[in-house]
Amino acid sequence: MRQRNLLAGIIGIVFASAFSLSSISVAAEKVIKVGFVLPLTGGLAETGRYMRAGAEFAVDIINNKYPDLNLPLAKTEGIPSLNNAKIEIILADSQGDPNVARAEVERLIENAGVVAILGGWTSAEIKTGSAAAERLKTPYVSGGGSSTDLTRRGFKYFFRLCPHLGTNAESFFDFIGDLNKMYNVGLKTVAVLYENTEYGSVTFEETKRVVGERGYKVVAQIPFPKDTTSLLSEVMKLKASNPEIFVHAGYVSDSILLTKAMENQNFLPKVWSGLTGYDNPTFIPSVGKTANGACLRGFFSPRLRKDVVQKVNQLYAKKYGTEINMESAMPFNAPFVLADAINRAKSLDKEAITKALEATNIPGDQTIMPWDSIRFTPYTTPPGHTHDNVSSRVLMFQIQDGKQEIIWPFPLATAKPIFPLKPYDKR
Amino acid sequence: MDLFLEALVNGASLGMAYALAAIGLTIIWGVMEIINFAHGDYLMLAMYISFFSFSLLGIHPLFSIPITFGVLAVLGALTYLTIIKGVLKSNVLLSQIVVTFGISIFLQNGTLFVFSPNFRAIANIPWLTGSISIGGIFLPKTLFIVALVSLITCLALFYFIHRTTTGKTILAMAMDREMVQLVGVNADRVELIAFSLGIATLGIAGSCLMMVTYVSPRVGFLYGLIAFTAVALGGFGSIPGTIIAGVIIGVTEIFTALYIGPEYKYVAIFVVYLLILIWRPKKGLLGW
Repeated sequence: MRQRNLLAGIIGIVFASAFSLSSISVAAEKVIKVGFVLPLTGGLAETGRYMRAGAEFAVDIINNKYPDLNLPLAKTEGIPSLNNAKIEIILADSQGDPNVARAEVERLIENAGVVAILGGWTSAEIKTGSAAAERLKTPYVSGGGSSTDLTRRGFKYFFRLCPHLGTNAESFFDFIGDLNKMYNVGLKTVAVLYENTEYGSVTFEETKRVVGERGYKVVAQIPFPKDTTSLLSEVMKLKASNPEIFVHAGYVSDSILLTKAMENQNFLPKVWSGLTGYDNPTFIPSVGKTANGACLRGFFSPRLRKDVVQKVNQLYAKKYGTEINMESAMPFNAPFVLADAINRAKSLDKEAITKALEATNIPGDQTIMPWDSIRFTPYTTPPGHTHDNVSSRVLMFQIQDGKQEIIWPFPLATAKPIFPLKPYDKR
Repeated sequence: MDLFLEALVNGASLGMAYALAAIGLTIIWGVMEIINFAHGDYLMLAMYISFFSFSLLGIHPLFSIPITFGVLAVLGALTYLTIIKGVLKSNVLLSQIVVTFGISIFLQNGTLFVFSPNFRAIANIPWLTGSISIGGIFLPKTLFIVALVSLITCLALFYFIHRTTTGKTILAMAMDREMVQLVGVNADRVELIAFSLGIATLGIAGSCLMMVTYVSPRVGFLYGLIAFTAVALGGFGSIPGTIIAGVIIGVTEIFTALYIGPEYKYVAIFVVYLLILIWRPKKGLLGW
C-alpha cells in the first residue's frame, strides 16, 4: 500500500513537473496575436498594400534586434517583460467596407483570440470596427482615421495616434493665415469639394467651423460620390463659384480625375489643397506636370529632418523597393505603441494593456512622425475627445517640379511655397 | 445660359463615351440574350492594354485601338468557345449568370494580382491636352475625340448588323435560332462572331477611356453597370437606342451634378431609367 502510494506520488510529481515545464516552455514560445484590419481588396486595395508593409515592417523591428534604431523595443527581441514573446499579426480584409470591417474585428477577437486590434484606413471602417472592439472590451490602436467623431464617443478601449480632421482644418487655416501675412494678400473665399462618406463630410464640417471662427467665407460646398466616373460637372460648379482657396477631400482615384478636369477647364485657384491621395506614389506619374502647385496636408514625409526617419526609410526602401510613404508610415506607429504598452503591462490581460496604453509617453525622437511625443488625452465623456494623441500635428506640402516639398510650418520647410499658382493656359 | 450649353455639350459627349462602353453589350445581351456580368471587366482589360501600349511602347491610345480591338476579339472568341457555348447549351439562365459573374471575379482579382491595385493614368495625352472652345463653351479635347470615335463605331456597327448578311443573320438568330439552323446556317459560328464582336468593341472603348480616366482592377464595375442600364434603357438589340440612352445618362449625370448636387447624380440616372421603364416596360426606348 505504502509502495503504491509512493509510486503514485512519484508519478504525480513527475507529471506535475512535466506539465509545469511544458507550460514554461509554452510561455517562452508564446506568440502574441494581434489583429490587423485593412482593405486588401476593393477600391482601397492599393492603400492596403502599403499599410500591410508598414505594419509588418514595424512588427519585424519589434520582434528582432535592430540596435541602431531609436524606436521602442527595437533594440530587443519581442516583448522583453514577457520572455521575449513575439508579436504575430493576423491580417483581416475589410474590403474598405465598414460592415465587413466590423465583422472581421469580431472574428479576430472571438475566433482568432487576438489581444488587440490595429488598423483600418477609412474612418467609416474604423468607426464600426472600433465599436465592435469596444463591445468586446478589446483595445484598438488606430494609426489612421481622421474623422473627429472617432474619439468623441467616450470609448474606453479606442486610441488614435494621428491628427483628426479638426486639427487638420485648424492647421490648414494657420497656414493660410501665415501665407496671407507672408505675401500680404487677403485670401478669403473657400470652396470645398469632398467625397460624401464620413471622411469627406467631416472634413467639410470642420472646415466650415474654422471658416466661421476665423472670418473666411465658403463660396461652394460640393459633395461627390466616392468612385465617381468623372468630375466634369463638379469642376464646372467650382469654376463658377470662383474661389481663392480650394480644398479637396477625396482619395487618389478622384484626385486623378479632378486634376485632369481642372486642366481641361483651366480651373486653378490661388491655393489648391488636397488631403489623402495626393501623396500616393502613383498620383504624380498619372497626372504629370498638371499637379505642380497642388498643396496637400500630410502627416508624414520621408524627408523629415529626423535621424530615425532617415534610418527607417533606408531600411524600408531596401526591403520594399520604394520610400516609405504616408500610407505605410501611419500604420507603422501603432504596433510600437501597442508593444510598448504590453511591455509595461507585463501581461496579455486586455484591461492591463488598456491601462498601460493610457499611460503611454513615447518621446518625439522615438517616432518617425513629426510629433513631439505620443501621449493620449485622458478618458472623458462625449463630446470631449478621448485618447487622442496630444502632440499630433499636420504638415503642409506642395508638389513642386514633380516632387513634394514641405512648405509649412515654415521652420520645418524644405522649400518656399509657390504662390500664386500659374494658370494652366499660361504654363 | 453658357453654363447650361456647356453642361449639355459635355453631358452628351460623356454619354457617347458611355454608349461606346455599352454598344458591345447591345449585341451580346440585346441580341444574343447572354447576360455577361464580366462586361465591365473586359473593358478594364482593354484599358490596361492601352495603358501599357503607351507606357512601354509609346503608342498613343488612339493608335492602340487596332491592338485592343484585336486582342479583345480573340479573348471574346476564347471565352465563347471555352465557357459561353457550353453554358448556352445547358439552357439554364442561372448557369449563365453565375459563370459570367465568376469570370468577372477572376478578371478583377487576376489583374489585382498581376498589375497591383495601383491607379494608373496617362499624364498629358499627346496632342490632346486642354479643351476646345466652341463659342465660349469648353469641351475637353479628349472627350471630344472619344465622342467622335464612339459615333463612328456605333454607325459602323449599325451598318454591320443591319446591312450585311452576317449582321442580319445575327438578328435573325435572335428572333428564331432554330429556323436559322434549319435554313442551313452554322448557328454556333454566327454566335461566335457576334460574341467576339461584342467584346471587341470594348477594345475600342478601352483605348478611348484611357484618354479620359484612370485604370485600376475595379474600374470596370461602374462602367459595366452603366452599360447594362444603357442597354436596358435604350431597348434590347437597338443600337440607336443605346446611343440615345447613353446620351440621356450622360446629360442626366452632368445636369444633376450641376443643378441639384453631385451626390445625387447616380440616383438621378436610375430614377430616369425607372421612369422610362414604367412608361415602356417591355421595350425600353427603341427596343424590338
